[in-house]
Amino acid sequence: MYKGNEGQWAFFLHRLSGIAILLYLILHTVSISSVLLGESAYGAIHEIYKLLIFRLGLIAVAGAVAYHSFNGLRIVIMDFTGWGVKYQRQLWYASLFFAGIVIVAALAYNIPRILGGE
Amino acid sequence: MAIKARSFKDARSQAKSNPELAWWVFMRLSGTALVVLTLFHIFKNYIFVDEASWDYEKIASSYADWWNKLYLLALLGLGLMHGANGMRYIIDDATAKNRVARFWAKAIVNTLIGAVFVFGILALVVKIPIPGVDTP
Repeated sequence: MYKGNEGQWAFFLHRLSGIAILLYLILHTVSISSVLLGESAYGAIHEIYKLLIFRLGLIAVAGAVAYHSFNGLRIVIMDFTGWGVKYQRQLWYASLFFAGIVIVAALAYNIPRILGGE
Repeated sequence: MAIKARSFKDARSQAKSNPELAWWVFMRLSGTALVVLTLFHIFKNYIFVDEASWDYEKIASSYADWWNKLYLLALLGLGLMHGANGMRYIIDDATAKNRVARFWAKAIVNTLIGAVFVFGILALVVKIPIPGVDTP
C-alpha cells in the first residue's frame, strides 16, 4: 500500500511502540499496585527503579507513548476524513514533530534530575 | 484478521463479523481518549514531577482521592483493552500459518492482561492506609 516509504515506517513504529507501551503498562500497574502489599514491599520494588537504565527507560516510554498517540491520531484522521490518506506522509512528519516536542520536554526535565543524582 | 481499511465504509465492508467492526471503532475511540488521558498523566506525574518522589505515602494519599481513582480506572481499563486488542492484531498477523501458536499466544497474553487488570483494580478498590493519618 505504501511501497516501503514513510507509511511503512509509521506502521512498523506504531506496532513496536504499542508492544513496548503494553509491556510498560503491565510492569507499571503491578509495581504501583504493590502498595497493596505494604510499605516495605513497595519500597523494595521501587528501589530497583533508581537504577540509571530504568530512569532513562522512562524517558523512552514517554517518547513511545507520544509517538503512538500522535501517529494514532494520524490513523483516525486518515480513517474518518476524506483528505487524510492523501496527506498521510505530511501527517506522519507532523506526528513525529509533536512526539519530538514531548521527548524534548521529558529530556529537559529529567536529565538534570538524573545528573543531579537524586 | 485485522481490518486493513482506510475509512469506516471500507472497514464495514471488510469486517468479517460485527465484533470485528466494533473493535475497529473501539480502537479509534479509545485511542483518541487515551491520547488525552495518557499524555496528561505523564506530564502531571512524571515530566513535571520527579518520579523518585512517588513513595508509599504519596501513592496512598493520591489513591484516597476518588476523582484520581476514577481517572486511573479509566486509564487502566481503556489502556489494557486497547493493548489487548492491539496484541490480538499483532498475534493474528504473526501466526497466520500456525493455529496452535496463535491459540497459546492469545491465551498467555490475555491471561496476563486479565491478571494485571484484577490486581490494578484491587489496588484502587482496597483502602490503602496513609502513614501518619490512618496508621500511627
